[in-house]
Amino acid sequence: MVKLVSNRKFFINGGIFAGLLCLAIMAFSFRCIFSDQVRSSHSIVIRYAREILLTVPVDEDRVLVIRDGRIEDEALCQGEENVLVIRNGSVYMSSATCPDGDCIAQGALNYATVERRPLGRWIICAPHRISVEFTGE
Amino acid sequence: MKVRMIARFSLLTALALLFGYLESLIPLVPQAPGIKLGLSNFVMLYAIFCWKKRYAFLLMVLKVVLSGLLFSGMYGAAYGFCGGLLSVTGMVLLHRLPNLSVITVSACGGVLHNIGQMLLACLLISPAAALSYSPFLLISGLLAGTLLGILSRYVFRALKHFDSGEVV
Repeated sequence: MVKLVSNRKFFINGGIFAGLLCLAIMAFSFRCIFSDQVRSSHSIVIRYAREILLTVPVDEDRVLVIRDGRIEDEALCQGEENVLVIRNGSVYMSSATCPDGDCIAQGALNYATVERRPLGRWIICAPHRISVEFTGE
Repeated sequence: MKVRMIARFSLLTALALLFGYLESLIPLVPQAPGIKLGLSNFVMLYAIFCWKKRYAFLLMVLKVVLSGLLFSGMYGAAYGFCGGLLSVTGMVLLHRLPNLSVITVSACGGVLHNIGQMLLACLLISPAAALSYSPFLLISGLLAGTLLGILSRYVFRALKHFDSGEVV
């Protein structure tokens, strides 16, 4: 009887773990199927709160300042501000006024790094609701 | 008894805040946001397994609001609240079921916490980015939750002798 109970406990707990693992594997295969080829991509889409702010080509060097959901001319280190640098076909956040600086730590995005970055073809600034996407359009 | 309850409550809130601050000092994978140890979930687990379940919700809200004010800002608090609410609700419901161990409940809590944050990111930032990032969040939540569950199992066993005979 004791054996039966402990067996049942083992199967219920193990089943839940297997279910969670299946969920992760499903998410991973979903990512693999839907991550389209980025080798042909040549532009960057900058979004604020799911709305497109600006689309720019990768091969044109420039520095963009995004403050409070708008593209501005110069960096002031005020409000919700991110500085995005496009240089030599590579995109990265050089500074941000958020408390954690996650978007700077996400590093450079280019043809070489896009495959092995955990965030794939995105740079995300969660507190400022900004997403930068590498895309083929 | 009431004083004792207040003292214990504040101690646990302070512990949750401290855990949250400590783990923000140790970035596990700097390139991957949202992947962390989830140490402060230990306090919620303690409230669910060794104290009263409804206190887990109050502890979670206090932890999220205070760490939002002190460290992470408004959006950090919003993400923490979304993840924490889903995680604590899930863990409280799972604890009611028979035959579930601390490790399982903690692992589910970790995964649910990250699912809650992912859903908020879907709403606020970009559904495509959040979904493509989801496997990392799910796996890290599962691993962190399992590790924390194994730790809590030994800690709760040790605390049983300490807590015995005490009326809260």
